[in-house]
Amino acid sequence: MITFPRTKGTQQLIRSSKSLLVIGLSVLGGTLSPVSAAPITRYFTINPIRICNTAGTTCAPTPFFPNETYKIYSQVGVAPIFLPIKQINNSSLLTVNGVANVSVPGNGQHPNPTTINAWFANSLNSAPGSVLYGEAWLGGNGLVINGSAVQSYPPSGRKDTFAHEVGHNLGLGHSDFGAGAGNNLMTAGSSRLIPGGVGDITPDGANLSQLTASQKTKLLASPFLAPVPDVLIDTRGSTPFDSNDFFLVKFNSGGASNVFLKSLKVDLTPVNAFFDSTNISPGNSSSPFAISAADLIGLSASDITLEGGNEALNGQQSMTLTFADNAFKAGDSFRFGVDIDLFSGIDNFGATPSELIGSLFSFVFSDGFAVQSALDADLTASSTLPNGLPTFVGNPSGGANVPPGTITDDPDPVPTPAPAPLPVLGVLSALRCARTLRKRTKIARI
Amino acid sequence: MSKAHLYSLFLVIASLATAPDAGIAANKMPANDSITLPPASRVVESKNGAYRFRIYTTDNWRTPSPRGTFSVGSTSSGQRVVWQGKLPHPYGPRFTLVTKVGDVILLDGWLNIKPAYAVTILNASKGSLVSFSYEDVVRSLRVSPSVLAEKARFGSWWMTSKPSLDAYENLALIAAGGKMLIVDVRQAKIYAKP
Repeated sequence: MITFPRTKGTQQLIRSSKSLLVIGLSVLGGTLSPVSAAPITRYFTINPIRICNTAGTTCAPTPFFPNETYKIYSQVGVAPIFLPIKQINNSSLLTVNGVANVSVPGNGQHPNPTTINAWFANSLNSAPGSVLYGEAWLGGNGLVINGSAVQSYPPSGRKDTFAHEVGHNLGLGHSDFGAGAGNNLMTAGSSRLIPGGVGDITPDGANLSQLTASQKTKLLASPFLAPVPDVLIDTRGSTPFDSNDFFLVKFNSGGASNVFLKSLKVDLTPVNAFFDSTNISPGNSSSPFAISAADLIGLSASDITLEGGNEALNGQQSMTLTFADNAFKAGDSFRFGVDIDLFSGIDNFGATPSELIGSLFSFVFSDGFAVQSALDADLTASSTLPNGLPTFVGNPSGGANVPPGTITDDPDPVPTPAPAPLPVLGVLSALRCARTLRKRTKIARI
Repeated sequence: MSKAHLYSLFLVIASLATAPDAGIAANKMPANDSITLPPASRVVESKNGAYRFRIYTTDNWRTPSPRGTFSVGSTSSGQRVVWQGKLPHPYGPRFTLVTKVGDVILLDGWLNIKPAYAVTILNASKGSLVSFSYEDVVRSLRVSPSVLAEKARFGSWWMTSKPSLDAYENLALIAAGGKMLIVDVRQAKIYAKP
C-alpha cells in the first residue's frame, strides 16, 4: 500500500510500504526575518472586536497576524497599531454574511472615526463552493474576518488576509492601482500568493504582499493615517560620565499638529548597564542627571522632570523623563548627561557609546502614539525606527469622519502624485556627520 | 410572435429595467478575500483511456483533506481500482496528468501556498511514489523564490504554464521562473531543461 510520506521538504521515494529511501536534497533555509527596520512615517490604529456567543463563553479566533501585517505595511512606511481587543457577546453575529452585518452602531465601534474597526466572526457565509475569508468597506471604516477559516488555513493561517482587508479600507481594490499580480497584496484571493510568514514578505523570500507605487500613493492619502512624530536620540563624546550633553533629544518633525512628547524612557537592560547618579553603591564615582542649559531649544529645564530624581535613579537600569504639556514639540531639542556604568566594569571608564548600542528608548506622545527604538550602530535612535510593534497609550481621537460603507469603488479614484519625501534621512545623515567631528576627549576615571 | 419569444422579450425588458439599480448595489458591495473551492470530484484520464485518477472530497470540503483513486480499464471494458488513499495536498493538487502507461503526476496544490508537494509521481502498478517539494523545484531550476513568484500564474508559487506531456508521455514540462522544469516520469526526477 502506498501512502504519502509525512515528512515534508525532501525528495522521497517509496518502493513499498516497507522500504523508504530518502534522497538527500537539503531544504532551503526558511528563517524568519525580524520586524523591518524601515523608517515609518505614518500609522493607523485598529480596534479589534472579537465576537463571542451571548454567554461570552465561546469566542471567534482573532488571527490578525500583527508581525506579518506590520512587515507588509512597512514597505510604505506605515505602521499598524493594534488597540486592546474588545469583545461583544452576540451569538447572532458569530456567523454573518459580511461586514454590513457587523458594522452597525452598538457593535463595539471605536468612537474615533479614523480608528479602523475590525470584527472577528467565527465564520462568514459564502456562496457554495467558495470560502470567504474577509470583507471590508472600500475606502470606508470597517472590516470583518472569518476567524476560524483564516486561523485554520494551511499550514499556519492565511497570514495576509487582515492586511488585505485593511488595504481595502485604505482605498485599494483588487484590480486598480496596478494590483493583479500574484505577488501583490491586493490581488483577489483566488490568484494571490499567500505568504507563510514574515520570511516570505517583501523584500525577503518570495517577495510577496507587494504594493505598487500607485497603490502606495493612494494608500498614503487615506484619512485613516496619522503622521508619526520624529524624535531623534543622538550621542556625543566618549562617555556620559561628568556630562550634561552626552545625549541629544531632538524633536525633528512629524506628528499631528500640537503633538508633543510626554515621556522618554531609557532602558539599559539590554546592555547590562545602570545609571550611576550618586556616589552610593553600586557605583561610587558618579555624575548626576543634568541638563545642558546652553542646549535648550524651545523648552526650559523646568519642563523636564526626572522621575524620582537622582537618588531614586541611582543603580537603576531604566530612567524616565516626563515633559510638561505642550512643552516639547517639533523643532525643540535639549541635551542631558548622566553617568552610566556597565555591571561588568563598575566605576571604570563608564559605558562608551558603542557599549550602549542596543539600549532602548521609549517615546510616548500626546496623541497616544508610543514606540520603542534601540540605539543602533550609528549611535542614534529614532521614534521612526521601531524596535518591535508600536503601541498606543489611551484612546485615539480626532481625524476626519469616515463613515462606514458609503464609499464605493466606482469610479476608481485617480492616483495623486507622490508626496515629497520627508527630510528625515537628510537630517539623520547631517547629525551623524556632525557627531564624528566633535568627539570629545576621553575622561579617565580616578 | 410565439409565447416563447414573448417571454424572452419580457426577460430582456425586465433585465434592462432592473440593471441600473443592480449596478448601484454592486458598486456598494464591499471588497473581500475569497477563494473558489475545487469541485467535489475531479477525474483525469490518460489520453488512451486506459487509466484514470479521481480526486474527491468525502465531506463536501468541510475539511481540506481529499482522497484519490487510481483505476485501470476503460469505461466500456470495466474499471478496476488499483490504488486509493489520502492525498496530502489541501483541497488536492492544482494540476494532474495521467500518462498512457499509468503514471500519475500531481502538480502543486489547490491553495496558493508554498507547496510541500510541488511534484508527485505516483505509479500505483509499480507501487512507487516520488515527491518533490517546492524547495526541490527551486534547487532544480536555480531560480530565486522571488523570480519564481513574479513569473508564476494561476495562484501557484512557481508554475508559469499549465503542465503538458511530451509526445512519448515520458516527460512532463512546466514553464517556471523563466525556465522549463522537466519531470522525468520514468526516471522519477526533476531538472531544468538544459
